[in-house]
Amino acid sequence: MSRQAGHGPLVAFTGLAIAGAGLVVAAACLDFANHHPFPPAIIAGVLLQALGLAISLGHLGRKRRAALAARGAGRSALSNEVILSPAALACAALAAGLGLWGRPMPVVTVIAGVINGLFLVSIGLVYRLRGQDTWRGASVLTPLTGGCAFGAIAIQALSATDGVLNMVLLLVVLDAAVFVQRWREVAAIRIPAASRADFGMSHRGQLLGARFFLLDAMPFFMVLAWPAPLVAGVAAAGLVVDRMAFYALALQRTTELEIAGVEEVLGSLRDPHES
Amino acid sequence: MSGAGFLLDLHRCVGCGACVLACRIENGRVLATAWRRVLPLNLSRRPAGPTYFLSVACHHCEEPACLRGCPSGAYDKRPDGVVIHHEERCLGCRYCEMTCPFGTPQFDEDKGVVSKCHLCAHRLDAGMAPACVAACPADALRYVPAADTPPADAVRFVPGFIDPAGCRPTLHFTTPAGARRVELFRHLDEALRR
Repeated sequence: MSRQAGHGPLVAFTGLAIAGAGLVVAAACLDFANHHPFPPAIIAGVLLQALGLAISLGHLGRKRRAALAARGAGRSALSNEVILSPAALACAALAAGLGLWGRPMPVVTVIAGVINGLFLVSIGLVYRLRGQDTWRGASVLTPLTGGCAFGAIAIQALSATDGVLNMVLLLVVLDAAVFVQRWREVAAIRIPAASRADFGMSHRGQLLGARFFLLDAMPFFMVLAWPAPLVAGVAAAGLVVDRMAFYALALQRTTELEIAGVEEVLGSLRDPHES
Repeated sequence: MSGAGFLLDLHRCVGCGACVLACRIENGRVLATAWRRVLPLNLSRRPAGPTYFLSVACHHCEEPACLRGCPSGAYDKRPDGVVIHHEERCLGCRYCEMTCPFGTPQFDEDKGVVSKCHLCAHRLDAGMAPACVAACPADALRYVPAADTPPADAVRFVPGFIDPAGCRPTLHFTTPAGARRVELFRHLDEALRR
C-alpha cells in the first residue's frame, strides 16, 4: 500500500461514510431505547453518506465500471461493502423521508440502524488483510464503535433530549475500550527499520493518542459541561484523525520489507567463522 | 507442483536483470510498472550472511489473495494454475495492491487499471517458456509446469521471502551449494527466528 499515490479519497470516503452511518445507528439506538425519533440526525447521516459514496467513485481508475464492483459478493469483502453501502443509504433515506413526512416508523428506523451497523462492520472487514499487520484485530471494530460514538455526540449537539447523554457516555466508553485494544496491538508490532522513517510509523504514538483524545477522552468529559456543538466539532476532528492515522499506519509485509528486515539482522550479526 | 510457477536457483542468479528487461520488452512495460524485479540481499557483503538476488514477479499463488479480494472478478486462475488479470474487467480500485503481500499488481495511471505478470501465457500456449526464463543467461530462472514437481532440494521460503498472508506462492528456490554457504544460510535463518 505504501506504493499508492495517496489515501485522500479513501480518508474522505470512509470518514464521511463512518460519520453518516454512525449518526443513523445512534439515532436508531435512541429511537429503540427511548422511543424518541430524531429525523434530523438521520437526514444528516444520509447527506454525509451520499457525499462519501460520490467521493468513493472518484478514486476509481475506471469510474464507468463501478457497477462491476458488486460481482464478487460473498467472496470479496470489498464487494460486500459496495453492496451494503447503497443499501444502508437507501434504508436511512427511507427512514428520513418518513420522518420528514411526519410519520416516523420506529421499525424502519431500527432496520436502517441495523443495516448501517452492518455497513460499518463491512468497512472494518475490507481492511482485515493477512498481509497487513496494523489493520487486524480490534481495528476491524473501530469503524463501528467510532462511528456510533461520533453519531451519539452529534445527536447530543443537535438535540437537548434527556437520555441522550447516557447513550453518549456509553458509546464513547465502548469505543475507547476497543480503540485502546487497537493501540496496544499496534504498539506491540515490531516495526522494521525500513518503515521507521515513515511519517505514520515515526509518529504512531502521537497519531493514535490524538485520535483517542479527540474522539473519546475529550468528548467524554466535555459533554458534561461544554456546549454540545463544540464537543461535536472535537469528535469530528477525532474521526478525521482516526482515518488519517489508519492509512498512515498501513504496514504491508512485502518482499522488499522482509529483505530490509533481513539486512537489519545481518547488520547485527558477527561472522560465525570469526574466532 | 499444484500450479505452474518459477524455480529460482539462488546459487546461479547473478542479478543481471536480463529477466526484467525481457519481461518489459515482451509485455511492453515501462520500468516504473515492470512486472518483474530483482531484489538483492546483503548488498554490503556482510560476512555473516549469504549474498543472493531474488528475481520476483507474480508467484501465481495456490490461494491468490488478489483473486479472493477483487470485487469485480478481474482475476482468474487457469486450469494450469496461471493467475490471469483481465484488464477489461478491472475498476482500478487498487484493492489488489493492498491484498497481495508480494507487491505484484502494478497500477497503470494512463490506463486506470492494474496489471501483472501472466507467466507469458501466450508463450506457454505456443509451447515456449516465459520471456524472463528464456532470457536468463545463467539458467537460474526456470519455469516449472503444473504437471512437474520442483527438485527435491528446492525450498519454498528463504530469508527475505516469506508468505505472510497464507497465499501459498508457487515460487521455489534452489539454495546456495557448498558447505560454508549452507552453514551461513542456516546461521542467518536461526538469527531471524530469534
